[in-house]
Amino acid sequence: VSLLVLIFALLVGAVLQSVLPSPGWLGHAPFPMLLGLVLYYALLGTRSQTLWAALLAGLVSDALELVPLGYTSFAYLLAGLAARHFREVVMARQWTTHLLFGAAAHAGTTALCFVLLLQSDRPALSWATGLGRVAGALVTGSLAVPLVCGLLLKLERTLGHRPREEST
Amino acid sequence: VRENRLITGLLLAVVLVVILNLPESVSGAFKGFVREAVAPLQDAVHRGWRSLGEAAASVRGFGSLARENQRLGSELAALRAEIRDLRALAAENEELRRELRFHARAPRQLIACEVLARDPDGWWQTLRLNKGRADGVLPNLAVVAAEGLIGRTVEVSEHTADVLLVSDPACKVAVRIPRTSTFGVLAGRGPSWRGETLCRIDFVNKNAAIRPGDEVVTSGLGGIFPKGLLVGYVGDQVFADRTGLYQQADVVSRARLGQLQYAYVVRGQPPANLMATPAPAGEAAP
Repeated sequence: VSLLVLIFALLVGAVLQSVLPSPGWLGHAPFPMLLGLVLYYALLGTRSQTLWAALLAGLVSDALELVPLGYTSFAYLLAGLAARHFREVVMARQWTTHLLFGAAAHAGTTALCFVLLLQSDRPALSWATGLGRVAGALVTGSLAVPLVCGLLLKLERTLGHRPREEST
Repeated sequence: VRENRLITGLLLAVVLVVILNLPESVSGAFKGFVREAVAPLQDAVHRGWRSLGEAAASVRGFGSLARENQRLGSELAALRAEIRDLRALAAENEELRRELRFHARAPRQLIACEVLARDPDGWWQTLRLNKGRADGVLPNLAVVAAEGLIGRTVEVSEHTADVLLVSDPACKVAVRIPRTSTFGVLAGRGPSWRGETLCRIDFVNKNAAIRPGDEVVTSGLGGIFPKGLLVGYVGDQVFADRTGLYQQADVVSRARLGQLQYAYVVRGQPPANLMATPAPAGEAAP
């Protein structure tokens, strides 16, 4: 069941991420639906679920972009492992946690991908583009991740995969 | 537990290294597979969103006008592009006659596409179109709209194509100002805070008397963009560059890149040396 949920979430997340507008005043930072999926498993799931989610979400994300395959997987794996490491430090399963983790993780993964892209053979990027996007990522990450985590938790509870008494 | 973590970490590292070093053909095939899987859903969402917009317009009493306007807009785009092609062909024909030389030139054919998504990745200014290799779209083909050139194709799957827009700094276009017969290189400057398309033409002869409002067209020298496609008009800013050897000028594109619904890929054979490169840095200098 959890694999089906993961595949379903990946598909829906990929479509939403590519269709939702990324405003220019937010540096064209997308709403990170796929990163939300990774953080959901990092905060509430097992270690292997986190790693699988990070690897697959990163691959799907890269496949839909001009970014070379593997860059985002690498960034998502680091974000997922960091979120797992710190999940007991802050109040886990609170929307504020999702908000903070979302903002930090999206900004961090964006900055890492920017540095990797600077070294790649892809079309050149300016520092202004990178900095603008990292700043925008703080906003879009804090908005999208709590939403994705909330929806996934509701879905898993509806499917009986997670006990109903768990609070967010 | 520590051993398990170490093994997992090592396995992941190996998997990542393999993924990062996949041959272009394999990673391209994977990307194509994922894009093909997602494209119908993207299309459905896009159509649904547009239907909602039309429904809202209908509520306001402009439903039929909106549809009619959309149809006419599409027709106008094709006709304008055709007229521009014909003008370029006529000028070339005249020149060839003058020089008593003739070479065959295939008429430009356009592949009409709908926009599936805008800025799907956000790193570069791109569009995703709903036509791909199956419809004759290849990487490094020019893409136009009614108002002129909008960019070039970069990554193409069976039924989708990503377009790098002229407003992106990575998209460089060899251009010409017909009034003064001056050549230059146009590059995007990214979107303005108000969402306008900003471009700048560089390496313009410092003695050329270019002025605001001059038409800017593709020169055809770079190998990617055919000759004579309208790019935009010289804006208010015309000035010498830092070295003082050339002029620079802002170029205003008439195409509303953020609101495009239809685009036309100029059918043709892309340069052979660029075929294998998914996203080259830009076109050659004039």
